[in-house]
Amino acid sequence: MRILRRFLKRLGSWVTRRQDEERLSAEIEEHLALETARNLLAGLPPAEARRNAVLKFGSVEAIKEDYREQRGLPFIESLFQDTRYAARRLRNSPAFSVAVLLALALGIGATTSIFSLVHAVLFKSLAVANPAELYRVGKVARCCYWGGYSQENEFSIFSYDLYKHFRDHTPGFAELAAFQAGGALFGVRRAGAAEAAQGYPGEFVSGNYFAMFGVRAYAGRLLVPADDQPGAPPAAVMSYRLWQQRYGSDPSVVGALFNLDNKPFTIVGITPPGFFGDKLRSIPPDFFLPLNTEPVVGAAADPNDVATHWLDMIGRIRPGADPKAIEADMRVELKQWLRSHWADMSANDRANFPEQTLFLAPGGAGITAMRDEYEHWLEILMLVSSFVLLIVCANVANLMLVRGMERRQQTSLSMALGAQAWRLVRQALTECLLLSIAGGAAGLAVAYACTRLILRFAFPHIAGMGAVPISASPSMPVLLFAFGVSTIAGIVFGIAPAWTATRMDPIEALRGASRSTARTDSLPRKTLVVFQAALSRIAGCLRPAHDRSAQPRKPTLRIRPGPAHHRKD
Amino acid sequence: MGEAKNKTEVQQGTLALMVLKTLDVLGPLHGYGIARRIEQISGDLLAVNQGTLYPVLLKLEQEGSIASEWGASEHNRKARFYRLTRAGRRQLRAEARDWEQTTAIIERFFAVKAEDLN
Repeated sequence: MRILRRFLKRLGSWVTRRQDEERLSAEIEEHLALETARNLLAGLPPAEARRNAVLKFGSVEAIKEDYREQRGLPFIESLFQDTRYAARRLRNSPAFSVAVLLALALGIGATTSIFSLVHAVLFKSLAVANPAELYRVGKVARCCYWGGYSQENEFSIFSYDLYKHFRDHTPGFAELAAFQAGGALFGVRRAGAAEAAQGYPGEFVSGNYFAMFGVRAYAGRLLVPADDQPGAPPAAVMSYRLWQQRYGSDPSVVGALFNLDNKPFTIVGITPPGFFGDKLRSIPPDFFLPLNTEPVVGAAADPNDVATHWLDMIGRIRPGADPKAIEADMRVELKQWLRSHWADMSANDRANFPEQTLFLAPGGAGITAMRDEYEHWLEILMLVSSFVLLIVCANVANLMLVRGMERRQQTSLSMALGAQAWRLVRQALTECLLLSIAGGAAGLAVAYACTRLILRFAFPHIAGMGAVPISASPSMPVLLFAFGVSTIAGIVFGIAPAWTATRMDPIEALRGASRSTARTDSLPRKTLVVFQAALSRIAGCLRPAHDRSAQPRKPTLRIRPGPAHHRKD
Repeated sequence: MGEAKNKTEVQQGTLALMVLKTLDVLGPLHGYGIARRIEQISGDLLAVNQGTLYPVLLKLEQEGSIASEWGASEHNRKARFYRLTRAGRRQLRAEARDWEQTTAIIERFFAVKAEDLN
């Protein structure tokens, strides 16, 4: 309580400091006058009386200093002073400041943007409720069709018949949904409109798809199991993006008739804004159609064919259910299903029967086709960018170190004039922090620009289509990490020379500094240079390696225009 | 440096207590008056550095133990008079008690001789 009160008083008197200074001067004057008068009474000559009074009072300046320290908020005052001083010093050496700022901005920016992308592609969950409860049946992404009764390593793509078998026999799942593994492109035209049909990507999903993900309609309603019955009136759900961008959020779209590949569908609702489907893809689907409307639209292969596998499955397990137990149950169910089709199986399928199995994998991130495709590539990129950050740190450290060395003489001079060591170190620290903060801010801008640039290159935007659902805004934890690392490097190497300088005998330092020729290359500096060269070399080596590995895996992320059917690549 | 600082801190503490006691006994007083009084009683504590009193006065005022206002000194000059506040009186009582306890304990320790412990 008393401390708080004192702080507030101090804050107050910090504002009124001039007045306080005058008050102290007046008090001291009064004090000296009274003491002088007493000395005069004691019989001293006037000059001597005054002199004695002053002597007895002690050093007026020291008292004033002490008084000031008690009065205002000396810490904050000197912080302002240090900041002003640091800013002035940085302005005086623009080359140094710009070099450090650029290095920091590039290092922090590049690392942050790469790691943000990595985060979005490798670790981010779908925009759905409780992604931790979701499990996918199957580990690898198999696109987009698979025939027969055996699959290599694991069953990860399923026919409609097999899906229904699992859905009806696996009580461990609260909801088990299936959806098209590939994508479809529909020629879309609003019924009655004069416009030409336009191609938009869509996806066939089971009736419980949205219930399984736990998403709610932005407008209208989403698909329900009743929509996914043979003979049910054809219904479709439109993406928020298309509704907003193409139809200007027109409320009359909900309930309107749309022709998808010349078949009439009623748009029953709009998905929520963040929802981009069950997998991260370069062009998210704009229409969701019930599985049972697949024959309506008319595909090449019969979707109801028992042995045509074209569906991915994701389910939400019941709270507390054990995924391992569900997995075991489903393996049995798979074998039962296969056995029931023994007559239809080829000799090869029968031979492979004993190995047929399946796995449950965490499905919070959806079908991770993009992750599987880019994982390797991103890991290398991540490694390179961490080296870039390290190199930047070494560079900044080096620059700071050189600057500290150059400043040595001045530091010694300040020490010789009686400056406090901690104050000198604090000045160096303030300068580092100022640079770091400015560099961090610039890094944020670079990170944002860089992420946008990479996204634009990796996923070229097609006019009228949705963009890849990866946000360009940098991931905060990564930004803070990069910022923290470079700041620490800057601070350590900024303070170190100031600190060592304050430990030296000023006289010795001044003498040495005025005719310094040797000993400018200290051990830490040499080490830094070697370290930096080594890092650059490693980063250089990594680059061709990544090119080599990326070449054969060149991703094909194009939509082929043409008659709107399923992609069969 | 640490040791020196410690010493002044202790000194400041005792000085603060003396200021409070002085104001308690003599009523409102200006800085010089307090300095004289302490000098008379304590001897050399303030003999060299009467000025050190002023930062202590400021601190006490910030803490609310004393209050000050301008008034006229005996020479009809403008002087700042300090007086004890109610909080200051409370603080004085508490600190005096603490001080007595501490000195009593220390006294007992010094009084103990080796044979007393056997």
